[in-house]
Amino acid sequence: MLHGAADLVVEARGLSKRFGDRVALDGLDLRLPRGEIFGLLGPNGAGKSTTLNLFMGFLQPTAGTARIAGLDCARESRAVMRLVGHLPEEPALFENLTGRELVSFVLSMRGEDRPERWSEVAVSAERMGFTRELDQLIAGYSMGMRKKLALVTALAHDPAVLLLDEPTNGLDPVVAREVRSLLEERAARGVTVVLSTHLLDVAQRVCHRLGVIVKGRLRAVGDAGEVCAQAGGVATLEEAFMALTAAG
Amino acid sequence: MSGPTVAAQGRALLRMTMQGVVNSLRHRQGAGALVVFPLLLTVLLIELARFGAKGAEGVRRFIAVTSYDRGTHFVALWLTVMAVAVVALKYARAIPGRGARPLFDTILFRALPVSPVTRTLFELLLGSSHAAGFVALVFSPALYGLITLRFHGPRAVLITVLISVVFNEVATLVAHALHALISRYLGGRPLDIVRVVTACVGFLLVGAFSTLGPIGVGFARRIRVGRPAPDWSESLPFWGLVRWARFDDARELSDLALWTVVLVLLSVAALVWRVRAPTDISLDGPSAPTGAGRWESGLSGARVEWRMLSRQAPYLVLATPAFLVFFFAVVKGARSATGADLPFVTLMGLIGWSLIVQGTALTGAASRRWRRVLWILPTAGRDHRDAIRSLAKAHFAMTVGLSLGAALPWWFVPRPLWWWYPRQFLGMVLVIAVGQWAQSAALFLLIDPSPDRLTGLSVGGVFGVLVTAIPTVALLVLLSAMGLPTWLSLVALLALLAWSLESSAVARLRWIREPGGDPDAALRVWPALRSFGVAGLAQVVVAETGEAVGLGATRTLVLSLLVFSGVLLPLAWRGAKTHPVEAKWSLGRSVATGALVGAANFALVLGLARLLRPGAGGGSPLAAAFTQTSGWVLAAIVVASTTVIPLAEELFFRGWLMPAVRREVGDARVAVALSAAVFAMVHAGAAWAPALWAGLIAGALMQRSGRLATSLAMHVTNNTLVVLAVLLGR
Repeated sequence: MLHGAADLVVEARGLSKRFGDRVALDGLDLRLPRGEIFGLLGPNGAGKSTTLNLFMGFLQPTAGTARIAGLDCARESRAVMRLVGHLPEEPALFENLTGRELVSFVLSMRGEDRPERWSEVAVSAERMGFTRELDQLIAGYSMGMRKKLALVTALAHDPAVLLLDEPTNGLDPVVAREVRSLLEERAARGVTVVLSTHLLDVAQRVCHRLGVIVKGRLRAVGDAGEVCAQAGGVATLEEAFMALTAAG
Repeated sequence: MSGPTVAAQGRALLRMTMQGVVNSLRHRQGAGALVVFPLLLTVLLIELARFGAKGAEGVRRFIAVTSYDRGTHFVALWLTVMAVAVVALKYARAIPGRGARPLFDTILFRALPVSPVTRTLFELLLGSSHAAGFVALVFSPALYGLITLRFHGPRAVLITVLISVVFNEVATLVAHALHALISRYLGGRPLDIVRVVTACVGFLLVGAFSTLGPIGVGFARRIRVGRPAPDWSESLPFWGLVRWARFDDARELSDLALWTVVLVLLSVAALVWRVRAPTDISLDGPSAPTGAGRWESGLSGARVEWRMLSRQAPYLVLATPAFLVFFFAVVKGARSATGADLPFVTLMGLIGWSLIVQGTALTGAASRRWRRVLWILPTAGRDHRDAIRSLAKAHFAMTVGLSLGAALPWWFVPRPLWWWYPRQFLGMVLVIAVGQWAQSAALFLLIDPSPDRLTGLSVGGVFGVLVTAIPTVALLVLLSAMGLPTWLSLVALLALLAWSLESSAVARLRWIREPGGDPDAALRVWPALRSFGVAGLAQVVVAETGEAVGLGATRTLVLSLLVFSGVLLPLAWRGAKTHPVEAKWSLGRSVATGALVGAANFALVLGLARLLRPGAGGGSPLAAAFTQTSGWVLAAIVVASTTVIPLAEELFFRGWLMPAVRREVGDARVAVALSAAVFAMVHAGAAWAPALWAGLIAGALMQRSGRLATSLAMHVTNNTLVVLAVLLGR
């Protein structure tokens, strides 16, 4: 149902956001085809989370538009939210529920509490080594467990687009690799993934294309090689990142 | 693609909220809380409904005795004050404060496809439930009283319901609109100030009205009836309260004792009730406790206590008199089913209620800073136990000052014995000391296991206050009329509670800092006291409903005793198993010695009683159960007194409480003495002194023999002989 539309993309045109005098995002242009994994890179406060929040419709753009599957993210945010699985940077969970109850709540609110969704949940929980903890109270979770539950919740309704803020932060290397392969499999099924990260190796390994944002402006976009070329022909992504950040 | 319906989303939300509540209870207090909570709610509803019914009657009579214009004027003014109070209460609940967000503002919720209309609907529904009990049980009855002046029968009920519903929804809307407006234009930080100001204005309004009301009524009566008003309504309510406070009638005293038991049980169970709606802390990221620096350098104990005191001052100054007034009003209001002072009694009761609402809002406002202090203190290199006792000492100093002022009226109450005054003072200071100790420990126990969530204590804070503030005041009043030994055993019980709560709180605080293991593993005496409270609650429910359904006083008493021991028996059985004791005597020797001591004790007590108070006895309600009944009621009370009741009591007092206290304190003699004191308190209605004596002997026997059979044999023998003596003497 969700994957039939060939034109399913994530798209930003001149997308800008100001908070008072401060420019958080300045004229972002972006067009992501179906099945692409796109990494947003940038130093702290560069505008990565603002971009994701604009796509979620949490924030209203000062200028420009953000679209998902042709829907305006600011004006049709409810329809957008049906298509999107979202992972906030700080997993925000209801402490007095068990993991399973939280997933059930989110699925019910989406009208998606069906057996096939639960088999997806079982699979992703199993791969993250999280099956047993799913029946424990969230209040007792560690930061890593919270991140895992938030990821399971974001993936549960089989969304067509995933907006993930720092998906592998706080996870051990084994789980982080599982998460990467989960994302690659989803992308192979046609899911578009936008993730923000400041871990360059994660970005390089999992993302098809990267965008480097510095002070609200997109400084470079393309695969790792293209980003290096745009940064002045440096050899590694790290050097490119340093060069672009310093120039900004 | 069509989304889920509003109804489906509503169901999901409701299910999630219920799951959160149930999980919270089960996880923090054990599955038993799922039994205690409904029980507690039942008691509360019974008492509030009874109080509410008097409210309607009271308002009607109030208007009947006043000239119509003035009467309606005062009632209308009172309703306005109530409206302000309800909005303030809803407002205080709508805002958990900085760092914590209402459910609907969480990112998790905002990322769900919920339309703005649905979202607002849910928000209003949730907001409507806030303070709904207050509206239904206090506001509506008063309104009903007013409406019955014009309309009667189902029509009056319908109009009352209609206006109440509309009023509740409008109050919810106003509170939410205020919230939206203030958060939009003032941002997060000044909310606390706004809340404090709202609460203070409301408090002053209510205070002014409660002072002016009776004066106005006095004038109104003079004008209309043409004769002087009763002396208490001529002057300020303060002097009315003073005269009210004369508990010289035995019936008043027993009602007062019942109320105290209810309030103590409610308050203890309030600790069990630690329900919080799911909250979300992460929208702004975790907020580190600010101001920690001021506590870092080695402050002297006195300075720390002074700082705590100064932070608590506004709350204590405003809330303590509110609770005092509330308590007086409730006691007297509930007592006076008939009598000339009913309308005014009820009015004062209702005013007390609005005062408690203001106290609630105020506590909510003060809680964030308070909680921060509680959290920061251990980081300043001080032990958790120090922190608890520092807070207790600070509160103690403040409350003794306030309570001395509140106790002043008693100087003007004529009393038959000169030593009543020093006894009163000593008892008060002792009760306040242990009460504050228990309160501080309870508050530390209520801290969330997360330094990020410094807010959200409004529920916990209010119940923390209830945990000991009301019992403290209740005990103060009770002290004025009860015997020295009874209040000594009450102090012992309260100290035991404080001790146990403190150990639990310290264990919990350590666990918060260094998680690992079970934070509740240190609980020792608390589970026993909790089970005791459950049995007590069940007894109160039966005692409160028995007469209402036409059982009669004696049958209700018998039934409530059966229910008490019936509930306590299995709980104590399970509890006693967790404290195995090594047997030192053979079973035969234990039973024989126990029976012998029981018989000797009976003879001794009987002899002493004949010697000291010839002709006394037979006056207690329990004695009436033996002498004035027959058939199954008599059979039940005879069998229960000689089997079930001794078994339940021995399992609890000697099998569970005593070893638990011993583990807590480490001294067997203290354990025997404390368990005997609580045992005596339970039997205070019939005969406390023989009970204390028997409790000490039974404790010593159990200690010496290592077998429960010894004290059980003694208890059964003693009770059988008592029952025989009463039956033979019929």
